[in-house]
Amino acid sequence: MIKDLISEFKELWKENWPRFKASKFGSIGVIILFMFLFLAIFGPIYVGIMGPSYSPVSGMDLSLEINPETNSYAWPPSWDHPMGTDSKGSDVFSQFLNGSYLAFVIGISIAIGAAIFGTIFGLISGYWGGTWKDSLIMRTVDVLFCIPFLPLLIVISAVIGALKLSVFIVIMIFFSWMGVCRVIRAQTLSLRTRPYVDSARVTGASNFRIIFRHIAPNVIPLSFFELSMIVGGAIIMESSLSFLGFGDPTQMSWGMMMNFCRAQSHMFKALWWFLPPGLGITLIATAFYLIGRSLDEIVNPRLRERK
Amino acid sequence: MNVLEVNNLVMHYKLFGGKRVKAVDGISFSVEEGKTTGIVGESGCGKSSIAGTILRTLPDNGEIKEGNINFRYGEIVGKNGRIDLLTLPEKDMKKIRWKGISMIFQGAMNSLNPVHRVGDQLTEIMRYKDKLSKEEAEKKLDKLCEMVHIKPGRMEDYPHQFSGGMKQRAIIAMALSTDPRLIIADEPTTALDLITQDRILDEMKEIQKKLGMSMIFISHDLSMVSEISDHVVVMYAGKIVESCNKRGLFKESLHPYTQGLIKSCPRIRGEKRKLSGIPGEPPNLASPPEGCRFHPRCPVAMGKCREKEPKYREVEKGHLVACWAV
Amino acid sequence: MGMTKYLFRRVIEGVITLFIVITITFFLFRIMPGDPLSTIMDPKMTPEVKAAIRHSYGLDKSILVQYGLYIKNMLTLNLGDSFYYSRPVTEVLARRIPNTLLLFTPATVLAAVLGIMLGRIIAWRRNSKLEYSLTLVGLFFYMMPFFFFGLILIYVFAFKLGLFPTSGMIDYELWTFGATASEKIIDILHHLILPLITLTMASFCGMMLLMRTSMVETLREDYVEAARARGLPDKVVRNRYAARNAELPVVTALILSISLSIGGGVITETIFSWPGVGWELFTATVGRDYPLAQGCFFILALITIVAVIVIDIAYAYLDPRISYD
Repeated sequence: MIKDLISEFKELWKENWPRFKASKFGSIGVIILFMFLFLAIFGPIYVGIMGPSYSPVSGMDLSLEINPETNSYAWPPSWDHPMGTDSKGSDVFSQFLNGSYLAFVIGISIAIGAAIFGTIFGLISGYWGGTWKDSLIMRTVDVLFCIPFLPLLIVISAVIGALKLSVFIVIMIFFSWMGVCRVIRAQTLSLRTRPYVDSARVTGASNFRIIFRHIAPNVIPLSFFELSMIVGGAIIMESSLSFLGFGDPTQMSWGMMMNFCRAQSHMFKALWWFLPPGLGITLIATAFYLIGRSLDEIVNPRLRERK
Repeated sequence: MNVLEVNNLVMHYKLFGGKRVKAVDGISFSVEEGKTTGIVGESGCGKSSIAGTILRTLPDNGEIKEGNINFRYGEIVGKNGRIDLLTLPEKDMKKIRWKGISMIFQGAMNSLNPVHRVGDQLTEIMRYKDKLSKEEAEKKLDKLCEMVHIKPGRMEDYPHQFSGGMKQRAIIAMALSTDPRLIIADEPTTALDLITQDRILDEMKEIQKKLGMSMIFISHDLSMVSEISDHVVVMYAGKIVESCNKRGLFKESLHPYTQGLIKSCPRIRGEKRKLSGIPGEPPNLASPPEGCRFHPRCPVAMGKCREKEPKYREVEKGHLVACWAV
Repeated sequence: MGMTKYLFRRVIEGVITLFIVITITFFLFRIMPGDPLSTIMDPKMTPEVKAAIRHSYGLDKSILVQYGLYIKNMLTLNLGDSFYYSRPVTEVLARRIPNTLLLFTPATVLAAVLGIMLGRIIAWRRNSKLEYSLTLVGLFFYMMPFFFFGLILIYVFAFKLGLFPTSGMIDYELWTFGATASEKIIDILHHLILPLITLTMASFCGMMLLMRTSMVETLREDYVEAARARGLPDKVVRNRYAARNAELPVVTALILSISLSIGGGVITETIFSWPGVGWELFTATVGRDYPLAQGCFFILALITIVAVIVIDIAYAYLDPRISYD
């Protein structure tokens, strides 16, 4: 099956690359994304070059003096510190790079997890549509949609304290797979009545085989599209949680940066500390969405049929 | 008297990547008042694009390159006598649509708005085009129902509650609702089962006789076209290959393609023959063959056919052909 | 007829959902590490005192008995007492709920209505500069985190320009020293504007983008082309044919995004110190006021469920193809 997936992927790629390139939105998204990817990778190199005082979480520039305007060690951008420093004297740019790295890790891991679960459950639900398996999964989905997860995350941290990043990722996956599941289910429902599924069944293929060998490859492109849409939302959710103060304090994500800024009452005093992470979140989420949108034109089954 | 004359119409679709599909490539035909002109051809020969071209409702990538379409009833837009539909400004064209020329669509399944009641969609058009009041429109709706054999009570339903045949009848009623001069019927029965097809065809003939409107009937089914038309035009790959009145077509068809089409229709009367199809496939309209477009599939193709396109000319009165072998 | 039956059925389903949510939360909290009573337990207390406190909260009984007590309490609306306020949780919540509804309801309605209207107009004028620019701008604000946008608004309009207050719902001075009813209302509205814009913006942009996409697809449908071929006026085709159908997936998406809007509401209330349920949730959590935090969560879940049901009914009203059984 893996070989099939790979060859299918290669074919899709060849067929759709010109369309993808032509899509204005997609190209903008890719450019922005590569920019942030570069920043993420550049982070450790930057710290390596500039020295340990530039380390994102613990580093401090001890040569600084108190800035009279902010009453702390926070200084606006300068040659030494391209994005200025925070109230402790840490380099903001290095924190920004680190945040970029974290955003990728968080966003992509949650999206992949949600996509995998969502696809599996969507396939099961769609294939056995109408039976108790389908009803069970769909009822679960309906209930989960009604649980507001930011408040839930907040209440959880009321009991166990600030959430570690790994815990956060797991919970987020748990609450993000429903959207993917619905879409995959709809597609599976329409696919399972196709003649090639019937012929596979007649030749004695087991259900499992039919699902994973015949239906899944057609559904995977849709999963990728849904995946790209989840990344942005996941990054934003983590930043919101961190901003409120319930995130992982050991990880200096963009949301955490803004949380510290607020906690130090520097929000309106040190814009160079406050604005970059916010803009970073917005831009990276936008980039993923743009890529997802141009993927949509390629992958959307309804649009394809009209050809 | 001709109600519509199409002269040298050329229409291309622009494709992604700069390619052009020459869907309609220099065709000319006419429709007589009160009569039906049938257009027959294979799928993809460009016949369905004709309707969109005449009414100018082509998608964004459809470009009309040449030709004129003379329509007799300029009074609809305040001009006397004939007007050229292709040069008419859009606001006048809007007036022509449905008052002058209306259309019965292919695939009525999707031609009705799913969220509004069927009756509302029919009265809507009457109120906008003819400025009828609500009561007047409803009265007319009842008359239309009678004509197309739909129970008036059903007009309160939504489209998804209608059967395929009923939807088609509703579409026909819609096409008639503003008393147009000309109706273009584009594969009106293709999506239905055979029995309903037959019934609807009979109903259409009845209506035409009663109201005396002119019609263009487009289909790939030669037997259907010949049943309802007075004059038949045969299209192939964006061009007209033969046109003749109904009797002449079957008795004295000249073009090899027409003959091929006729041979592939089973007959109930007359001697029993083996059915034969036309070998090969229709050409890609983005890059049609050189010379006569039919030559790759033609049983009597000659050297000349591969090089030069045959001229479309009158062989007898009312009978035109484009073929070197004639 | 059919609609009332459907409504009834949805309400029953909503109640069941609420029940499941309550149950899940109960077990979720029982299996998590951490002691909910740690804030009122003083390590210096003797074991007997600790045991007595545990007993008064019923925490020494078996899990099933606790669950039974829990459900009974829920049904009688006994949500316990707030540690901080030393008053019943229900009393605290009763004061907060109207404030949240005052913020949340207009925000949702505005986002949906404006989003659909604007999305419809943009999609109609395809490939225009207006479409591209509005789409990009809309996307940018859609992806901007609620708190970031809100804080920027505060910075520009409240801090720098001084046009609006930076926080709170009312001006205490004004209310304490006597003001007419209309002055009070205007005061609340004045405080409401910035949080409302914050909460509405992201949803509005999302709706607009979705409506645009949906319209673009709907415009390709046969019945739209048929309507145009009939020479119906552009506005009629756009509104009655295309938009009416394009709205449907947007309303569905609205249901899915309610949960996110509630989260956004919590953030918005926190930033603006708007005294609603979300803000209370935040402060209660920070203060380890466990019963109050839990109560707030339930109210928010309840609002979510109710909102979902309402929008679902609206959808059934809009789409005649839905069967009511």
